[in-house]
Amino acid sequence: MNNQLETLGIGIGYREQFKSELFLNKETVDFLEIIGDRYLDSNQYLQGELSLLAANFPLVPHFINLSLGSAEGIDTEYLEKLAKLVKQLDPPWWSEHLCFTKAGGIDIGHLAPLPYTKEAVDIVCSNIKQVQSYIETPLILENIAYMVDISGGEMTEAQFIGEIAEKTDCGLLLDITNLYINSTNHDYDIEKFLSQLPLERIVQLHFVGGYQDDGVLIDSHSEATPAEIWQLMTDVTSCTNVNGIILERDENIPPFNELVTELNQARKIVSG
Amino acid sequence: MDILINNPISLMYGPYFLLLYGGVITVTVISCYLILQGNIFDPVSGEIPEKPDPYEIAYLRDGESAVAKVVCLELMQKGFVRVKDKRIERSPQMYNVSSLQPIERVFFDWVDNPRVASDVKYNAELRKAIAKPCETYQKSLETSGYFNSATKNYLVGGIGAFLICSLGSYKLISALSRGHHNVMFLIMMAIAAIIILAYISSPLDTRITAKGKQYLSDLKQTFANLQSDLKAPVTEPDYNSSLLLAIFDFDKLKASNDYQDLVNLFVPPVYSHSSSKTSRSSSRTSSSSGGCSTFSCGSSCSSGSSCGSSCGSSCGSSCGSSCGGGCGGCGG
Repeated sequence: MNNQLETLGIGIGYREQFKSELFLNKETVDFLEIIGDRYLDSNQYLQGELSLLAANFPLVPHFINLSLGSAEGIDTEYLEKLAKLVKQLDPPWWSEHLCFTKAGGIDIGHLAPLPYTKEAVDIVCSNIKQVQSYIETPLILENIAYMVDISGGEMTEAQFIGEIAEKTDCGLLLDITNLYINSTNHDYDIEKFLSQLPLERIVQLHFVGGYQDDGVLIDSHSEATPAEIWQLMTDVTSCTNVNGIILERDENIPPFNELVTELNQARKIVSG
Repeated sequence: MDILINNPISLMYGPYFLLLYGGVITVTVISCYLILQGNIFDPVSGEIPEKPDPYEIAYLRDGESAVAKVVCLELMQKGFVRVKDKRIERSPQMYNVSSLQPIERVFFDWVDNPRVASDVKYNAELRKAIAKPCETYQKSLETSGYFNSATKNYLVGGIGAFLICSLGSYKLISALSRGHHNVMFLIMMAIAAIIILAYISSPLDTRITAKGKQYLSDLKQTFANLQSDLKAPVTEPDYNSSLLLAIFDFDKLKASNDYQDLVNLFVPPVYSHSSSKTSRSSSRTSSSSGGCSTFSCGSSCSSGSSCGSSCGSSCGSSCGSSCGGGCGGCGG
């Protein structure tokens, strides 16, 4: 999968707070990941921003609210807007989370985990097939961080993700921070997780730091990347080639040169 | 030769020809305007260089006087000039003028006597002296398509005028040769068309293209948040402040205390009659806050940005928060 796609390098999730510094440090950012939902119903200002970003960086859209795990199916109105945006940007791939955010017509405003069952696999695969009928651009699926492990699972999380990716021919966006947080909070072995994952399908990585609250790791996207995540990045990139790596800092944004230091660290890891 | 005398245009009934002529004039004038302005309906954002040259941007925005202000700030930061007693003068220190760019050297030479702010903005001698080193920016901006060259303006305007005059003259001669002397409308239309063409193809009026305007707008949008970085001491060169001055004039710098003297010089404080308090505003500042000046475009972008931000936050933080933090970590 990842061999068929172009390699974009090391980039950052675009946030408006650091726009000025981003443009003054363009050479340090190979590509940008934009939150696609921000531009779905965009006004003239946001369209201008998107056009400006597209003129200056390779863009990859990342979506939040497609709700691939919804048993009721995909919201076609949302999907049509999403497809239009992807077509407009013509990226090498686009990404969405393997979760559900809508149930019974209600937007729950939350990336909720799915049960790891065959039924859920069928539902997600059916939804993805529908999405793929609208959008030819390759879709890659991201593993989420979750607080609650849904009971009644018939397989592991890695098997669940792998089976969906194989059945739908999707790539994977491995969020190594989520992986590390889940493995710590739910006490599972990362090596075993990775051994059950089709590593050759990993197209992109996400990384960032979170914080610990009362013994629980929180995926807050608000801290510098810790050593454990860097090690995980080293482990994953030594097993497979990835096409892009994104620093996903949303909160507590530091001076841009600190973000650049993290990008350079990732670059160093990838170049071996 | 017969075709020159007997053809549909030559034989066309006067009022019908005037309609046709009006159409030709309209199409010609609009075509010339569009050629000189570029795509005015949907200008596309272009690439912003990693380190945009503040002098070039200032020149694009407002010509030599804008460049002079940025040069003044640069020299002030480098310690070559200072503001004293509401005048700009050379600093009392040893200078290494060889480190200055040609345009900075011109300005430095010019402040051998203390100068007031209006001199920087309007002094013909300075503008003339600065124009020479600004030729580099002129050429670069023409090459990028942000400026029209005077040659292009004259050529486009000339071709348009030639078309209009040729058709009008032909019909005029044809009409007179047939003994028709009611040609006043024809002459008036031709004169009006030439005046309009001269106006739209004047290098002064069409100096900046639609692409150039879009570039300036992109710069304003991109660097609208850069003001928070203005913390450099006055004697230490700070690229960001020069860039902000180049793009926004003094609108962004006035928020900083570091350049108070210089800002006050160019944007003098206004003392309110209704209150003993001093309010720092000028006609430009107030129009800016009122949201109607050019500069408020930048500001309205900022407000747009807060709109964008809230949107971004709702999405971004849905991702960031709902993916992670806020909800206790369940996401991407």
